[in-house]
Amino acid sequence: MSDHEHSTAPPCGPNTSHLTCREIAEFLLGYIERELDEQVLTKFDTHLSHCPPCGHYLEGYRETVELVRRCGRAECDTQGKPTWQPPPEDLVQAILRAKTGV
Amino acid sequence: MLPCYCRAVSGSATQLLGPESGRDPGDLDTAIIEGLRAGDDRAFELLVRTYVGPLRAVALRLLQNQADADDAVQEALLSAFRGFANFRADARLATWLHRIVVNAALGRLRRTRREDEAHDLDPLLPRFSEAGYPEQFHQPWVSTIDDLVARAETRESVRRMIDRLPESYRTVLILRDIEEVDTAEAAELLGISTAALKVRLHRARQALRNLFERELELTGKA
Repeated sequence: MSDHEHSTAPPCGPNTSHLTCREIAEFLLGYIERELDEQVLTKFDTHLSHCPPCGHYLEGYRETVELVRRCGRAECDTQGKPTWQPPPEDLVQAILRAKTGV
Repeated sequence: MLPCYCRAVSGSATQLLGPESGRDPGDLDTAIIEGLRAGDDRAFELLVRTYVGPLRAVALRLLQNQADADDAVQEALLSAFRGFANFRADARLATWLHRIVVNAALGRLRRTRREDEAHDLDPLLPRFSEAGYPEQFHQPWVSTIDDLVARAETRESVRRMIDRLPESYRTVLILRDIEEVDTAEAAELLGISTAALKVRLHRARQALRNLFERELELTGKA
C-alpha cells in the first residue's frame, strides 16, 4: 500500500458501531496526537477498555517512541547530555580553507 | 534541538567573546552573529568550532557514514556563511544551522537513493485476519524504559535497529522522533505531504515496536 492509498482517517461512518483491532493499530498515531474526532475517540477508548492486547500494543508503541527519543543520539549519555569529543582539527581547517574560496 | 559545543572554542576566535564573557551559548551566538555581520573572519571560525560537533552528529545520524557526514557539515557551514543575510534576528542560531545541515544531508541521501525499497517494511508490520483480529495477541513489556536506557548495549541495539529501517522511513523517524522537527517542517524538508509523512512515521514506529519487542526480548520470550 502506498502512502497515498493509505487514508489517515479511520473508516468510522455512522453505520460502524465499533473499531476492529486492525483499525486500532492503523490509526494509533491519530489517537496519540489527539487528531481524531470525538465520536471516533469514544470508539477508540471503548475498544481499548475491553481489549487488553490492544492496550498493550498502544503502551508498547508509546514506549517505542520513548526508546527512540532517549537512545537515538549516540552522542548523548543516559541522561540525554551530550558527551562531545573534540572534532578533528583537519575537518575544522578544511572548512576554514574552503571558506576562503567562497 | 542542537546543543552548543562550547568546549572546543579556543584560539583567536575566542577574542571575539571579550573578557566579560562566561562562554555560555548566548555569548557565543551573539559574538558569532555580530562578527559575521561585521565581516570579521574570526566569527566564522568561532561558528565552525562551536557547532561542528553537534552538526556532525546530526549528519552522521542521517547519512550513516562519517566521511559523507563531514562533507555535509562542510557544505552546510559554507552555505550558512554564504546565506547569513537570510538569518533572522529573532531566530536561534542553533536551530537555523540544524535546518541547514539536515537539508544538506537529505540532499546527499536523495542523490544516492535506492529505488524499490517501499515494501521492505511490510514483514515488520502487525498482521490481522480478514475480520480484523490480530495474528499475535500483544503482551506487556517486562522491562521499564529507564532500565533499558540505562544499558549501553541496549542503546546501541536501538540505534542499530533504527538504521535497519528502509531509508524513507528511517529519515522520517529520525527527523520527528530524534531531531524533534515538527510534522509540517519535516514534510517540507522531505518534499512530501504531511499525510504521507504521518503514514511513514506510524509504519516506522510500528516496525520498530515489533523489532524492539522481538530482539530486546521485551515480553520475556526469547
